[in-house]
Amino acid sequence: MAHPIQNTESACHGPMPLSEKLGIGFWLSVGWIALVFACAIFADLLPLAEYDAMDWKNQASPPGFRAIRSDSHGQSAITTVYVFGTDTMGRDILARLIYGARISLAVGLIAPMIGLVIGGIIGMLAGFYRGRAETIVMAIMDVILAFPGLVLLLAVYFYLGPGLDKMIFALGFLTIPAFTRVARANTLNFSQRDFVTAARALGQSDIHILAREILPNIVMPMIVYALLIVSYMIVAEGSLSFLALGVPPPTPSWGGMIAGGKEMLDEAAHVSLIPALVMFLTVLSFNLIGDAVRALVDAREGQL
Amino acid sequence: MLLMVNRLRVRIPTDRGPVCPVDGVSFTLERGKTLGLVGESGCGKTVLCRAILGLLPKGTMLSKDAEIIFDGQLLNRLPERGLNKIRGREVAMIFQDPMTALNPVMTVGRQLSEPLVHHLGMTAKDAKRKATQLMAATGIPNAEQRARLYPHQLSGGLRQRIAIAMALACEPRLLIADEPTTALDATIQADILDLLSFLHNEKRMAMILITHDLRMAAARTQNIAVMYAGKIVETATTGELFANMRMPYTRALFNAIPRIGNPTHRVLKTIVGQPPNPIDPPQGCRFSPRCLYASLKCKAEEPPLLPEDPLAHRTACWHPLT
Amino acid sequence: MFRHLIKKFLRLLSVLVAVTALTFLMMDVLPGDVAYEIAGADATVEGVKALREALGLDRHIFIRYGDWLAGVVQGDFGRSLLTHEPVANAIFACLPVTLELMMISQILALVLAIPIGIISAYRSRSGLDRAFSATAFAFMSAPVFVMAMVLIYIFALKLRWLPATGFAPLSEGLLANIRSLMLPAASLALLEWAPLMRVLRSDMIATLQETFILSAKAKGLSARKILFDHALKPSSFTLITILGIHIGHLVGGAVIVESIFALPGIGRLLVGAIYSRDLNMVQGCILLITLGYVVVNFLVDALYSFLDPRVRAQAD
Repeated sequence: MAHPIQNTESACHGPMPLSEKLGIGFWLSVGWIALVFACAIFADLLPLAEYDAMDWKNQASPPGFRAIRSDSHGQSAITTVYVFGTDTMGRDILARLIYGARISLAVGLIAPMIGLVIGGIIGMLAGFYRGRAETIVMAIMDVILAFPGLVLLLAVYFYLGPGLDKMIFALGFLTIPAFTRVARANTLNFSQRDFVTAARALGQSDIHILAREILPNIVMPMIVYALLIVSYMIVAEGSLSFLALGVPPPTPSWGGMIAGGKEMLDEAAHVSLIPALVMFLTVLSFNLIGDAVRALVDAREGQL
Repeated sequence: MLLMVNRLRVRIPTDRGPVCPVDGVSFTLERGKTLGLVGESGCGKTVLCRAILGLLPKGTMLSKDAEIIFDGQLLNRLPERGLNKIRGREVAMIFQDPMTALNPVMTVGRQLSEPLVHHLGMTAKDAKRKATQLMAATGIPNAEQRARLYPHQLSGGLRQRIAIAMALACEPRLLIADEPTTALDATIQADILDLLSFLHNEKRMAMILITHDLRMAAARTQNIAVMYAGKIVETATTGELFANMRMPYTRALFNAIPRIGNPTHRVLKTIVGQPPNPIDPPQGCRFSPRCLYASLKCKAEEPPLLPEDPLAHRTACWHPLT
Repeated sequence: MFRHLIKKFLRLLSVLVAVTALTFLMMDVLPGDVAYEIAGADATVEGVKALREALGLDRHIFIRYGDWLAGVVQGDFGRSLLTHEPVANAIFACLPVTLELMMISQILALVLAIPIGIISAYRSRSGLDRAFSATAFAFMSAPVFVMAMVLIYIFALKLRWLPATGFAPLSEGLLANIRSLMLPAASLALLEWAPLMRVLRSDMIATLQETFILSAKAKGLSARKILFDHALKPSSFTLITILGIHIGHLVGGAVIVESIFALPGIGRLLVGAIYSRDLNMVQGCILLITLGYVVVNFLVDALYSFLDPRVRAQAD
């Protein structure tokens, strides 16, 4: 690019194979996330119990419990196996976990997209045009960032009212300042590079420069940042649901499931701890993936 | 003999393979004498000195038959605990850059009293008083006030005086000064060196003075060892060395120094070429690729340091100049 | 130094004013009608209208903000819509519990983070270091409510060492008080120590490469002395900055933890106010928590420049 590159270092070694660099933890994480995704997408096709069907005879039954009941004609017996047991209202935990994954993934993936798009546009404009507008925009972002995250989330959500769409909006809103900062910093960096100056000298319009020269360069850091934020979003959704401020029942959500088993933690720990484990594994996997991708992109940036 | 170093080879593993910055070095130092260790940067002087005190980074290996004998003790076989009784107490060290060698977030007075408390078992109060005295002895005015300052509040010259005071705090028997004036302004360099010579005479301690400046070593040492690419290539008493420089490298090093007497526009006789790559040193004499007198033999066979007598004028060269 | 602090203080003031503005204006900027939300789904049109008037929502926004801000400056956050108790009283009654919880958890987090960070840096790239790093990563991925549930299950229900929920005020004795806060504080600390440890470790590794560490070694000091006397202080500046930022996480965590463990702190007050749609209380809690957070960050920043003589020198 702008500088002549002497890259003797990588020339002697050659690029390391991707698999070696990322390690087994990364691939296990990808596997887990893929499984969660597949379950969430094909939930309706899987042979699952209804997530809100209550089996009042078998409340908080242990994992692997076989419930035998007669069918509607009272003749043949039907056996239902509760792989992960039932919750305190006799609902199948496995089914609720899988339908709950839809909420977690929807929130975890859509909310950062809102921040990415809105924050990205604001940040790009601020970093490109500078001046007083930039100062004001960044000051507003700083004020939003001055609030403790969860408290602001509670506030926004309080004013918006309950509902999945509103929760996604509230979470997305919260990520705007951070994305704005990332986009602005990267735009500032690239605006001073030679290829932007060259495009200016050629008389390209600002929109053209932003869309064709700057945007392609800041997309990667923005996506990496979005990936790092996914787990925060899932945890935030879980926190709201745990506080019974999330999606309204009976729609299952992992946070709500964990909270639901709290009163019976002593007698039937699995009601809380199974969703807790699933949530932990999912957050851990997203963190591992985000970390690995960031390291990979950083290493590539470092080589340039 | 105060210090004997025999067959010292230091191996440092790096990403691009192992490096031997010190490759089979032997020398001796008598009590109260000063040895000048001279060579270009990167020739292994610093590594050699750090090896004496066991201050090399983790993973560094010394050759199996290497011996570093200080006052009858085999330092390279001593455990960390034993070494810590010698470091700062018997053998002290001064580093090249006094800015980075002092802790930036600790007052200089406290840093100075640390070895006093640690080695001599002084109380904090006594150590503080002694520290002020030591500072005054190294020519720092207003020592009591300055003891309360942080390193960045002092000039480079004062900082190096503090470093010297710190090294001499426990009156060690050997002082290793690693380019003590390189990072300082030219005007202060002579002051610091004079201070070192003065203290060295007063305390009757031995000193290893590391420098790349052969002339600087001339006035302040009894013996000189010239190093090139990890090896000692010439060693003699200072007078003898300056009278008869046998090794072409020593001569080149001597000629590379700008002299005040020289006409301003005279081109310096700098040494052609670069020091060898430490990962893959040249065959034969390591100086041969840059040597004006090199023959085929020089490129094929490595010259030994001869004669064997450690007190003689020894040279590792197939074609000595005199 | 002094001018530097004044400058920061002025900045603090402007952020404080901006925070009050945002807290107050949020309900007007965001879509949705608060009065409608408060009144509930089955409210009549007249009921909502009456509520709007009672809340003063029919007046111009800037007039309302001015009135409210004037009250806030005098310590008057309005009255709870539910209990009609002054909001400020309720908040100040809850404040000590939250502060104590955060203090204990911060101490626990540091007690874990500092030694582990130092050992990891000293033995960096060793098996021990890797094990600690992996553990830290895992702990960073456990949401606070997951951590709390696991801790309750192990220490309260299975081992029966500590109470599962409830708060014992100081009047019941210091031991009972600390015991009642132990699990909540540990839930927060186990989440917070990991990033603190990682920051300390990486700064410490950088510090240990410095020449002054070598020169301390050349003095014959023991590894312990070098690590604690020479390396810790210059390595802890990022840690202190992070500590300030992490108080934000702690506050968020405290909201959840107080709800789980039934601690009468500000977090539970806020969540309770949200449940009962008590607008004044919600606003008061949010404002006070945020103001506290901003002020603490300012103090941490001031502490930072006080601790590092190099920063002090730049500011002079």
